[in-house]
Amino acid sequence: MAALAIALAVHGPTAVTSPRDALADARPARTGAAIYAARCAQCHGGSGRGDGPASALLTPRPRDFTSGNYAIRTTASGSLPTDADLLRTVGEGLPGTAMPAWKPFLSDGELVAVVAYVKRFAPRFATERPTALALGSAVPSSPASIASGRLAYARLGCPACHGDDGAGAAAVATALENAAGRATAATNLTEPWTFRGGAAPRDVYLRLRTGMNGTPMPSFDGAARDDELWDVANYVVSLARKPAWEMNAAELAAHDAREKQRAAEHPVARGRYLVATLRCAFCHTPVRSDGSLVEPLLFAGGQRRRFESLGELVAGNLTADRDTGLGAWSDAEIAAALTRGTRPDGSRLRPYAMPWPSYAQLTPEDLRAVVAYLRTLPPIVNAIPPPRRPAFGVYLWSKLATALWRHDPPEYVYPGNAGSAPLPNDDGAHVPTAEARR
Amino acid sequence: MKRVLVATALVLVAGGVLVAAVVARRYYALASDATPPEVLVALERDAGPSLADVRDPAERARAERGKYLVAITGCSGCHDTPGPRPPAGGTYLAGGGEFRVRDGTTVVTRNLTPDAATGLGAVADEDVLRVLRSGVARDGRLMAYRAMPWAVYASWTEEDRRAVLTYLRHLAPVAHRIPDPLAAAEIADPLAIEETHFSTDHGATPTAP
Repeated sequence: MAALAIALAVHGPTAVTSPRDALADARPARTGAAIYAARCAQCHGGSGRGDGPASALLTPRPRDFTSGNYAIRTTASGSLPTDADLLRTVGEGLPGTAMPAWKPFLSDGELVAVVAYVKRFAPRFATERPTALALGSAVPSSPASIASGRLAYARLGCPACHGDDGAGAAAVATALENAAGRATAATNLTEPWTFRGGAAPRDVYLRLRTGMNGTPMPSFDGAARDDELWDVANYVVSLARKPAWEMNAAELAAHDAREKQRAAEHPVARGRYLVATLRCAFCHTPVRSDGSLVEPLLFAGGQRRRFESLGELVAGNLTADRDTGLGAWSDAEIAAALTRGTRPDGSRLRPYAMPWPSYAQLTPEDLRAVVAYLRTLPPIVNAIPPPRRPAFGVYLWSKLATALWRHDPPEYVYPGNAGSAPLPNDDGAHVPTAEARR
Repeated sequence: MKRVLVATALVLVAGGVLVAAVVARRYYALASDATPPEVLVALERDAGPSLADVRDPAERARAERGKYLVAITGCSGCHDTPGPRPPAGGTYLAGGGEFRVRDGTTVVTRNLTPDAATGLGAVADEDVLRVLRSGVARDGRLMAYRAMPWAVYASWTEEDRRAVLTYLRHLAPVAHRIPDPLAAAEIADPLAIEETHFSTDHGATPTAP
């Protein structure tokens, strides 16, 4: 704890008044646990495995603290982060991710306490003593440095993942996976606001020295001279493009045109982005009573809602299963559901449950992209029951009460799967796929 | 006398049958089912303000992008003011729907219009972006994602997120005060939504000017 507090004082985001500040907390471990439960567990999970209730919707996934794999560090490849590294991440957040800066909301003592709590999830912290790398003196940016950096960028193999232009052009390694086996992508080096460790030359240089543990980004420590790595950092910083919020009208028009072109060439990728941001999985996946989504049944429907005066509705199965999902629907039928609220059998979707009038505002290209992405969802067998009207007495009472004394009919969301698939164990081993059925 | 009674009884029975028929029809056929899809789509399309008055063409382009994103995402589904008595300035994104979380906490959807006193008018850009990026409110509270699905909007690119903010800054301001969340700010299991209430306005139009 003393080491943490001193680390905060020396390297931390703000000057701490005294190391005794942190030590003076009556029960620092409990304070850390309380902060973690209130602010961290929703993403990182109660057991620190990165499987919190909100985690299924987040890309990238929240850090699994038990693995000891931390990407943003000042230590050698394969090493743990220092306390100062952890304090910086918690205090300043990680751009390009959902990890916020907690510095405005937590005192220095609280930052120290929560970092101490987080470290306990990985047994490695008990035995290893990570030390920060010694950094060579910075090479200021200049046309010469950038030119040298461009050559080193190519020589070190960066284009294989990051592309010739830093934005993925002609990249060969496009199906990247992280240590957890999840699909990941090389950072677009032309968008510095997405650099997890920051976009200053020193930050980029550090990533080259340290690598990013748990990701395919290796360390280049020893693969090039120190001044060459600084040159590469200066070159990467020079690749930055202007963000849309700083563009003028002409630049925005060109930017929009390029995005539309890219969406037309990669409709599934565009559809993946749209489906993620249109909230589909939020309703079309069974939910548990702690608010987490049942991830093995993602998009397979089954979430049940009851509207007091309107009846029970169960979200449909959007996966490509032919019998219980969208596999037998035509593209036009899927589009009709999203633009007219109709199912192939002529029944209507309820706009207060399935907000199809909103999705009807999609451009035709975006609509096609959504359909293209939905087609790629692996088929999951989950037969969904039809809507049910409320009990007539409940309906009458609800309508009368609303008319007579401002009753506000509730909508209930139920945990569990109202479809036919059994809920899987935590390892997801028991979801019946179409293959298993055959 | 007897004829009057019989006539009255017949009228009452006829009236009762009529009421029963209306109720039964509503029970079996929802109003939304009867409305042509084009009408519902047009309502949604025309809900937001015209941005023709935005002078700076770049700002207007960003606001148009934000308008598209807000339209397809359906923020109005939760953030429009429900109920039969709308605030004077309108209902579009003025807040007022209610979520009750399993532990008893109640949260009411925020007024997203640029009203200085009751909406986002006096809220800094980063405070709004922080909600849409990480679910963290102005007071540092982490929102329950089953109420405000911030974890979904965390997937927006930063450019899309800022376009949404630009659009929100150009809405018609509506004076509509939203109560702060009731019950504990620090909740152990805040996520499971027990019930929602979206037929009555849970905000209040301020009476003082």
